[in-house]
Amino acid sequence: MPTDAKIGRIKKLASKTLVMAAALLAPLTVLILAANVNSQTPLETAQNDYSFQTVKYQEARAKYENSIANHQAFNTAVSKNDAYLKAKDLAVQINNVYISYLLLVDQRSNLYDWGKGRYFKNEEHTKIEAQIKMLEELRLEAQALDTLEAAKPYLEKLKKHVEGKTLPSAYMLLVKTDMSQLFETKYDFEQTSSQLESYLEKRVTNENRPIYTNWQSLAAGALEKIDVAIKTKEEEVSKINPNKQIKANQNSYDFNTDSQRKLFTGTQDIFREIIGSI
Amino acid sequence: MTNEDVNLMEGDIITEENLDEGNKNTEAKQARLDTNSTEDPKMNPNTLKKKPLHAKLPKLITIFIIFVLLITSFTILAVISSKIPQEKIEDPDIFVTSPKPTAIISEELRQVYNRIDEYENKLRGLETSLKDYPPPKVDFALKF
Repeated sequence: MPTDAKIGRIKKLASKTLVMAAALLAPLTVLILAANVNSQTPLETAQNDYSFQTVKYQEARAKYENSIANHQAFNTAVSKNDAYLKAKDLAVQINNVYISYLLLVDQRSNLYDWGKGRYFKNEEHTKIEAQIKMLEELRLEAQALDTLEAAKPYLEKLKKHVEGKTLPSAYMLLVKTDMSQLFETKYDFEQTSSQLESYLEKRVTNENRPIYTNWQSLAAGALEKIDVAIKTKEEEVSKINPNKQIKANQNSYDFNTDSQRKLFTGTQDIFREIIGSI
Repeated sequence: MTNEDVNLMEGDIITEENLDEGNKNTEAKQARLDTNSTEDPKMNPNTLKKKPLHAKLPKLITIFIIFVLLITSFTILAVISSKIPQEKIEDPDIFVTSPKPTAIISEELRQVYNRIDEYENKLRGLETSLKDYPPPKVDFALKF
């Protein structure tokens, strides 16, 4: 049997080892976590925040449902007070969801160079910032709710605002971001084609000139199709009513640029192929 | 010497013999015990099992703790690194070249290739659109 002295020495050694290991690992873990946080892009941060607010909303909704079921069962002042507090939290959280959604949509628009198209990013940012400010004011109203009965008309007012202002603003920014994306990609196609032509023109021989000429017409044809498709879509966008109501329970928006995007598919092969041929 | 004296003497002699034997046994036992306890302590069955464990127990605990900590830190690093979006690494296109020794790629051609690579990255960006940002799913209804 080990003696008490030996047991004591074992315990001391184990605790010293633990302390040393903790002293080594703690700063290392903090550094790794900090690096992970700092390595997120603004878009990723906005996406994470939106996901977080959505989860918080779902929790608030569940808590409210429970509290109102309790109140309906017991109908006491305490149960009513609890339902009122949960309704207030729910109202605040709904605002948070839409604020984070607008911030996310705004961050997405920063990915693209709007200078190649017809829209102005700063104008759209200003509109989104105004919408965020309105939601923040509505959130203050939610925090100031004083009875359970006041929560219902407040949420009806919030819903009307979201459908008439918030979602239409988000929608227009998303539409114009998509269009700017197409304009930018088309510009890149033109620039790449032009740079390639400058390089190849000096190296084309009589023997491979037909290949080069056919390539030029192929690239020009692809660019023309893209140009026509984007212009058609641009006209469609100009006809969208910026005050168009968007239902809060809508699952998706009714705008897409799939067919325009498909026209770009394979265009990089046009460039790679001609380099191999000349 | 009388017979009584002789008997007494014999008794003494017998007694002495008995005592001697007893002493010898005792001495032999003592000698054995002494041999077991002092000359080779490792042969004591009580200490034979426990002494190596006594010596190794602190070291075993230390090694176990360090091992657990290493596994934990490796797991944390693996989980965190898995969250970092991995860059898509594509195999470069293989160009069929002539058997002649190839010339060193010119700076101009390198720039052309870089431009095409950048364009290709832009095309990947077209995979995300408005469809990826649908309206939030929120229920405004309040049951009373």
